[in-house]
Formats: sequence, C-alpha cells, structure tokens
Amino acid sequence: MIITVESLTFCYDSIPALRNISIEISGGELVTILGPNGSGKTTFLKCLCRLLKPKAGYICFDKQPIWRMKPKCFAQQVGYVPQIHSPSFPYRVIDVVASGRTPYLSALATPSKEDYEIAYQALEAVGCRELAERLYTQLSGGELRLVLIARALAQQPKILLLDEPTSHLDFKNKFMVMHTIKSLVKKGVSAVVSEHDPNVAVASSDKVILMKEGNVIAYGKPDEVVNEETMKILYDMHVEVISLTNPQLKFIAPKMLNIQ
Amino acid sequence: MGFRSNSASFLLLVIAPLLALTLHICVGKYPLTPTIIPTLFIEKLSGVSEHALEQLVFFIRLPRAVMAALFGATMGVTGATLQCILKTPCKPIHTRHILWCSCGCGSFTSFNLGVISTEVSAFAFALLAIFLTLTISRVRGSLSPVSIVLAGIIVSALFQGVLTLIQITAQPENVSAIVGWISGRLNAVSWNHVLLSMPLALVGILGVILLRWRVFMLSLGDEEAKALGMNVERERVVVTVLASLAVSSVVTAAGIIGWVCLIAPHLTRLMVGSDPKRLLPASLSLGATFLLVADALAKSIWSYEIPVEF
Repeated sequence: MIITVESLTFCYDSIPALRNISIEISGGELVTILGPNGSGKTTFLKCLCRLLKPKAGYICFDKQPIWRMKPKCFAQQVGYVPQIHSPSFPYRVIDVVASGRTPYLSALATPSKEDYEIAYQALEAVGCRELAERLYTQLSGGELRLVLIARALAQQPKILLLDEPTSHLDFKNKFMVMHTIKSLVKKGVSAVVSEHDPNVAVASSDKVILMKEGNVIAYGKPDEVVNEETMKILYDMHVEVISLTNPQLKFIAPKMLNIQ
Repeated sequence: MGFRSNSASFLLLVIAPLLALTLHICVGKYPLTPTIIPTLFIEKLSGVSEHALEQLVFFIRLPRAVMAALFGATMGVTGATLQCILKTPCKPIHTRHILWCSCGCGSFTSFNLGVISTEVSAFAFALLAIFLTLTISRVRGSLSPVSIVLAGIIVSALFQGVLTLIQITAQPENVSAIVGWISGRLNAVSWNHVLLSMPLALVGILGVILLRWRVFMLSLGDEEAKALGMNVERERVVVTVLASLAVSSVVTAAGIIGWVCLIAPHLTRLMVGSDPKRLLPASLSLGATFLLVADALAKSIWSYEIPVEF
C-alpha cells in the first residue's frame, strides 16, 4: 500500500504540530519516524489513522483519500497500536485480540469461531499463543505490546501504524518487538513506526523519516539519513556513528559532554 | 480465579433466580412451603377452585417477586454496562443518584400537586435528567466518560436540591410516604406497576445485551475503538440511553434500590470473569437473584419489614 501525504498541516488549537508535510511511503517496508519529543511523530501517526483530522492537506492510501473511506473499510486496512494503553478490566488476552475483528462485525454481532481462530493465529504470529487465556492486566510491558500488535494483526490490515512500540521496554524487549514487526513486514504487511532511539531505528528499518518541530527534514534509507550531521540537527547534540564488525550495523553513540 | 466452568456457571445462572423467586414467594408473615406453589399455579391455570392462598400468592407476593427480579436484573445489567462504557466501577452510584433524585422530584411533585399520575411524572423527570446529563456532557464538544460522569454529578446535585426542597415543604402526613419511596417500595408494588415498567425495562435490557460486544469495545478506550471503525460517541449515547431508560422504568415503579447496580456486576465478575460475551447476561441473572434474596430477607428477618434499600 502506498501512502501519499500532501501538504499535511495540523494544529492543536492554534499551535502548529505538523507543518505542510509532503511525503510518499512505499508499501512492503518498515518505515521508522525518528525525532525528539514534540516533533509531531504521534500527531503524524494519528493523522494517518484518522484519529485526528488535519487542518489542511490530504492523505491517500493507494490513491484513495482516507477521509472518504467508510470507517469500517478503513479499519479493515489499517491496524493501529497506541503508545499508551491502560487496561481497564481484567479481560482475557484472546478477547482483547479478538476485538481486532470488530471492523468485520455488524452492530449486534459478537466474534464468531472463525474470528477467534484468526485471533489465535495473530497471537501465534507474534509468538504469544501461550498467553491467550491469561488476563491482560497481568502481562508485562513487552507482552502487552505484543498482544496489542496481535490485535492489530487480527484486523488483517495492509498497513500497521505503531506509536512508540518500544517505549518503556527493557533492552531485550525493545529489539524483540522490532524484530517481530520486521518479520511481519517480510510477510507482506507495511509498517510505520515512531521511535525515539536511533539505534533501534537503524537496526531494523528499511527507511527512516526524520522529523523535527512538525517538519520532515529527511527521508531515506538509514545509511543515508542517519549520520552525525542529521543527528546534530535533530537532537541538537553531537554523536558519533560507529561502524560495528558487521558493516550493515551501526551504533550511534552520544559524545559525552564535559560535566563540571 | 472464580467459578469458570461454562456448563456449571450456566446451570447456576439459570437455576439461581428460579430458586430465589421461590424463596421470595414462600417467606413472609405467612410462610408457605415450596410445594404449594406448583399446586396453586395448576389450579389457577385449570380454573378448578379458588384456593385460600390464591390472593396472597398471585396478587401480593408474585407481583412483588416479579418486580424484584425485574428490578435486580435491570440494575445488574445496567450497572455492568455503565461500568464498562464509563471505565469506572463507581459510575452506577451516580446513575442511581441522578435517577433517584429526578424520579423523586417527579413523583413528589405529582404527589403534592395531584395533577398527573406519580409514575408518569417520575418517568418524565427521569428522562429530563438523562437529557440534561447528556447535554451538559457535550458542552466541551466531546462525549467522553469523564464528561458524562461530571455532568451526572451536576445533574444529581441539581435534583438533590429540588428533592430536599420538596421534602422540607411537604405536608407532615406525606413525609413518611416520601421516605418510604426513597427506601424502595417493593412492598407496595402491584401488577399494574409490573406491567407499566416491564416493556421499557425489557427493551433496555435486551438492547444492551445485544450490544454487549460494543460495550466491551467502549471499555477498551475511545481511540482504540475509533481505530477499529466504531462511531464511539454515537454508540456510547445509544447504550447510555438504553440503560437509563431501563433503570428509569423500574425506579419509577419501585423506588430506589441502588446498591444492586454496584454489587451485582462485581459478584458476576468473580463468577464468570470479565468475559464480554458472558458478563452482561450473567449480571442479569445475578442481579435478579441478589435482590430477590435481599428482599426476602428484608420482609422476613424481623417482626416488621425493613426497607430493602437499607
């Protein structure tokens, strides 16, 4: 699915959060949006999944304007994983994942056996089949994030939008979640992910979008756009890009400041 | 955790209300044995003879038992529903308070003025309370759970003030009637009350049970429900109105018995968990059972009847 964004502008009250963004994202790739706090990453993702209506500009999925699509049709194509999810009641994991089948249900319907089978397969795809009967209020942060990804997968979408899927996760879980997303992309689902850590972005992404203060300042392959100059512009700090033994792997290390 | 076997739970949820109904009919100032009840029904249906206990069972105890079951079922289901869509276990308390005060205002207004029937007036005021709550909650543009809860507090306070005024200005001979209504008046229920409240209560209950998957989706969060293709505001309004109409209809007939809407859903969760497909139907059964048992105790535990609200 090709995502076309043209002159996208969004404001919270009168404060601009996205400034005239124009970009085209190809299908079948893992694209990471990298940027500091307040750069507009979450706002951009929410505009992409119709949770926010832009002040100006338009967004098209495969040349179809997203705001002309019916909500159910849109939800059957786009899966969204939120940044924050506060469990309210102790539901079973499988019921939470089955909620991803809602776009396929009528108003009075409940998920069928086939819907639950799809939910089990989605859990299998993220390697969490054994969590199905657990209560999702008892899961760890990483497990909960994977369950929410499974729910988005149960929608059988063409594209996944994930808002900081690695936030609040430990060192291992960060890369485990990105590895899972990468494996889903290899199976044909496109993914747009927002991320704070440049190392996570570089290690797993096909393309990287650099955002600062509501603007896209660079878009391209990690090798091309993530370097010392762009990191200086993005985070206003000096970094050193270190090539590791595997030439495809790089590590972005901050240059430590003299602390007096 | 809890009692989760499907068939055992289902059996209990079907049998428990029936047992509680039987208990309710049998206990009282003149205790009956359970075996007399089928006999009375058979004689009534075949028109064989007038049994001495027929008046007691069919015109005093049975309407009260049916109303208690309907009331408990309504409050159980609507309590669980409102907990889910407003994502708080406390909202049912406010719902009860709003409808208590509004119905109280309506009924006592008509009681004092004697212009229109108490039930019609109480129901009209309940609808007014629902309308005001939903209207005020839209002031900031969105119909979020927080705005509904806050609007409910405002409307509740408004009607509480009016109700206090009514009680202060009431004639002394009417005060006991007012207190009796506030305490729940299942003991004054006739078949007219049951027939008056049943249609709307059943519509409301059936409506929310059919929409139980949407209720579950609303409990997961607005953003996520929207991202899954739901019109969150519209569906929240529909469910809230259905639940409120059901509660209004039973409160109009039988006064205020509010704790059921809080306790029944929690007990149900202990039994069947939070399974969205089973919680609401199970709340219906447990709510009815709970109130039937409580009212049976209220009318038999002491030498005079204790109001079931207490």
